[in-house]
Amino acid sequence: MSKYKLFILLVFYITLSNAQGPPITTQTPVMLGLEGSGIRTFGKFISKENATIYVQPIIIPYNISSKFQIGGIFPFKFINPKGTNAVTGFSDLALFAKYQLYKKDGKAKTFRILANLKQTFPTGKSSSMPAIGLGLSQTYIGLILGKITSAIGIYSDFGYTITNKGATDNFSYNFSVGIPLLPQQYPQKQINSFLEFNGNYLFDSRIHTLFISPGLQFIPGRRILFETSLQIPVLQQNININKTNYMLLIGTRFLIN
Amino acid sequence: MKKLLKTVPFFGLIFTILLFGQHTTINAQNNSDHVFIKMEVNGMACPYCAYGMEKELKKVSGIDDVKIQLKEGIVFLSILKEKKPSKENLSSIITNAGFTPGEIEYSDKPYPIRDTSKE
Repeated sequence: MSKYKLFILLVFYITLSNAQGPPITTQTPVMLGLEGSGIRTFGKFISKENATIYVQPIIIPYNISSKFQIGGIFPFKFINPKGTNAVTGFSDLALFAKYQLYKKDGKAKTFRILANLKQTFPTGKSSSMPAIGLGLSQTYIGLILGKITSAIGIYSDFGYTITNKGATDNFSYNFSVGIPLLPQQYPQKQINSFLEFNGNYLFDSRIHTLFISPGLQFIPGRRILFETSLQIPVLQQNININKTNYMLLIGTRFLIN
Repeated sequence: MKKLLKTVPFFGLIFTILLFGQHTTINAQNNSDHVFIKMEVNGMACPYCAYGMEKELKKVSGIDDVKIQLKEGIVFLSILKEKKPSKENLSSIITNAGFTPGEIEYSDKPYPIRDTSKE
């Protein structure tokens, strides 16, 4: 897909925008409701040229205050490579902290910036072939931005990952715009559609990937939502083998208290 | 039979008056016991933000009804008069929920709340 077509698609989408729920593959700067004390889990099916991978993370956030959130990510991974046996197990555990740096509220609108720190530990088995864990410690430092009004919601997050053992560092960036398919009110049943972009750049190998991710979200009530997103590659620069065909995410978020 | 036909509508009318009269009285008793509050909550821009606000308000003892008009960023609630919170308390609840408090009003009568479900 050309950059020109992508730009036209994005402008068209933003023009249609009215309001939104939390984005699917981009982070939100609002740490409330389902984003504050809701458990999130999703199944991500990754189709690659030489393998199929299924990842099922459970994400548990906890609000220390309205400005400060901590949490953990516990991923389960299943890798089925072509020609060899499948490998399965718990992958690398990650802990995160988010802190609100800036907030500007108005009538039915808000603009917020959060600092985001994530530490990934090499808890996943890296001796297996293929490896379930990376065998590396990773420290992610980034920002989450969002402008949400009753007319439009735009989200973005980006950050730098520092990796140990001489492995390549990377820069990741995500961008999201959401459109509700039903009028915005509360409480209500909502169906939201999303157009998201997910990019990643590995510095040493100069591998640059970019996915366009249309998604749908159904919120039947206050305490639960269901979502799905299809991530289609638009750029896989400097990757010669085992390119990604697509990624499909199906998930839920629910409140336990 | 004619007498019966005359009597039934009469008693029907009496019954209707009593029924609606009693309903009004119940409401009046409830209204007299409660204070109604209208609050501007700035930053409440999404339904999942509204849930965070509702949840914080329902932690306050005595609050039995919370209605949110999302497009206007307004929260309506009612509470027993004896438990009426101060504007400072309400502002503090809004701030702790992650929003910015705006104007807060009290009333002895319920505020007219627009039904947005059919819009």
